[in-house]
Amino acid sequence: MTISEQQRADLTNQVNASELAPAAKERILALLAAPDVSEESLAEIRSVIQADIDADIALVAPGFDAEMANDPEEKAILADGEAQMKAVADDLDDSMKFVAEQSEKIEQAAAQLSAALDKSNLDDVKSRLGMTPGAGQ
Amino acid sequence: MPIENWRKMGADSTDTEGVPVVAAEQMETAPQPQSFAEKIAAARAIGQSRLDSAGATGASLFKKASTGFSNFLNKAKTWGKNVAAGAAAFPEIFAASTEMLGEKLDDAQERAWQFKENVQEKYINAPARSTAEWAARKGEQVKNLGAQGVEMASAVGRAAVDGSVDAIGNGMAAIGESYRGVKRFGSESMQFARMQMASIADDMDRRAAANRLRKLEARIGKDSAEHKRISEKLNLKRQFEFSFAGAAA
Repeated sequence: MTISEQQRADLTNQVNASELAPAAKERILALLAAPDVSEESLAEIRSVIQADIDADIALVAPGFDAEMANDPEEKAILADGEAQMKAVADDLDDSMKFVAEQSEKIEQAAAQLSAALDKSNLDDVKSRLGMTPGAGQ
Repeated sequence: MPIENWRKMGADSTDTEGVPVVAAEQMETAPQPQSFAEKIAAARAIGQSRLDSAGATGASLFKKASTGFSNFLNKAKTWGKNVAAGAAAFPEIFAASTEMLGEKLDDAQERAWQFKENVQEKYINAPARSTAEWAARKGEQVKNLGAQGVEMASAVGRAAVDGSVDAIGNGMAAIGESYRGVKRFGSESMQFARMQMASIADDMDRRAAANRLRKLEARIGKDSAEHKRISEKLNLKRQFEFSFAGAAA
């Protein structure tokens, strides 16, 4: 995927103006400068910014991360998200099984039609011989 | 994703389709990551792995179906040439094959109706597990596939009975349409799931981050310079997500 030059310029300006650590800025700007941005680029940018935020929090609120490890609200949010993702994944698995089933049916139909092609050769010859067509004709 | 990687994440088997179903168990049994970034990243990784796995299954199915369909078309072309040339015949099996093909027509119609009923139950009557729009679109797709299946079976059955060029041509067209429909269904299911996974993960990230920021306020104060700095960095992260989401749409 590509982002517009305007978006690229805006994001670059925001990164430069931010209070991110120099190493974080440098990495993000390098990723942003690539002609094509990818899901992987976004994942890394997200991770770099989050790591910078975590470092800030560790400085200003020592022990906060450990506290949050048992935060019931955070646990509920994560559990809810994971359950939703699992439901989507399970549904996708169902869809792929459905595709497999239908592909099998199509193969069966194609085999049946192949048999009809063979039979049609017989019909053609039968007709040429002036013989009476069979049942169903 | 290779099973070795699943094993590293705590998985140890695949189901009969080769899909690592242990992902669900893995969510429950894997050691809990501690940092916020790790937690969100782990959830995204699990979602991505399930997508990769389903994608690999789908790609394999499409390749197989594509090869089968291509072989079938080649046979049809050969058949056309043979008819034109007057192929060799075995008249003595004509009556038996006609009777057999008539039975096949009955079977095909029965299977087609069964197929339609299964589709109705599984995808249309079943409660929507995700967004209403997604479920409705998927249901509509499957309903169309059901109709295509009926049409395909009927067309093949007609071709099997009368063996006319038109009937066979219609059967081929119906099979082609069904093949394309199934392929489209698989591709769009994959695309929908990918979008939903990303959306769920982003939402989870946003909700959890907002919760953390709220809790952080009690420690450092809402008007502190530190709170402002962290809020701005979170906003920057969101800016990237919005920009990239717009680019992907």
